[in-house]
Amino acid sequence: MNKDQQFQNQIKQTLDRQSVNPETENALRKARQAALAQAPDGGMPRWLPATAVACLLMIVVGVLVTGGDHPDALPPITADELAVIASEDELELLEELEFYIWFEEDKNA
Amino acid sequence: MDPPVKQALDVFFRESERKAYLMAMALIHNHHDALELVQDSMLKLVQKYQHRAAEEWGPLFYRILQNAIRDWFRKQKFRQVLGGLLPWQVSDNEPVEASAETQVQLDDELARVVTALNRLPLRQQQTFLLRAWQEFSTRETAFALSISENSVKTHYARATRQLRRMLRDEDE
Repeated sequence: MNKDQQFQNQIKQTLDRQSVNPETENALRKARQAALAQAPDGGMPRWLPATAVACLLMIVVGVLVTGGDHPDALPPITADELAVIASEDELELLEELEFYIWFEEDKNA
Repeated sequence: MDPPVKQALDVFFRESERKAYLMAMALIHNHHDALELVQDSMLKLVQKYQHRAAEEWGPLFYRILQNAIRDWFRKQKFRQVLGGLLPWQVSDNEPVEASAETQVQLDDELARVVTALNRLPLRQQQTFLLRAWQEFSTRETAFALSISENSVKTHYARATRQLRRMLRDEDE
């Protein structure tokens, strides 16, 4: 263990000695309970009805606008893509891809 | 929420909440706001990430908390600027907390360390606390602070060097 590590360990041990008063302990317990109480239940995901409506709308609009086959048209949007477009949660998931990449790399490291 | 997930989250929070609060207090010195930031971070983790694997919760929770702390500093800065320009607009400022010692019990040695820590730039404080105290890896710290691993190494080395110098100088 080098000098830096010894010093860091010493600081860690000092910081570990901190304690909070009973009032704060109580407030933290309440905060935890409040957070857990507000968790969404295991039923239908919030975004599902909105996604279904958005999918239906996109299909109707697509049919009305294109009105038939167009050889040069872009490939049709898949149901998965529609779900991503319509769902805020899915968008957040995509935005956090860096986390998944990091997590996989970390596991393999 | 599935009962096993709820139970696992409850255990995770029990293990993390005290250190998360103390870390927030070490950085912002405001008991009420530190509690609020920890509670908001818990809530966000539950609402957005409860379905993630339990081993992912730690880095995610601290990322949410560190972002909240950064936003807190931005708001303080904004209030200061606004206070300078329009003093009457911020007359409802909360009173400054008496001291961290009223909520967190510090002995002399601890007080010295915390005081020295607070003299470092915020990024160095955050990096040092996550690496040395929370024992996050360089990679986990980089994720929690949304910075590169090289930046973590630089901040950590500088923080360690500065802290050692400050604490040694006090001893002499």
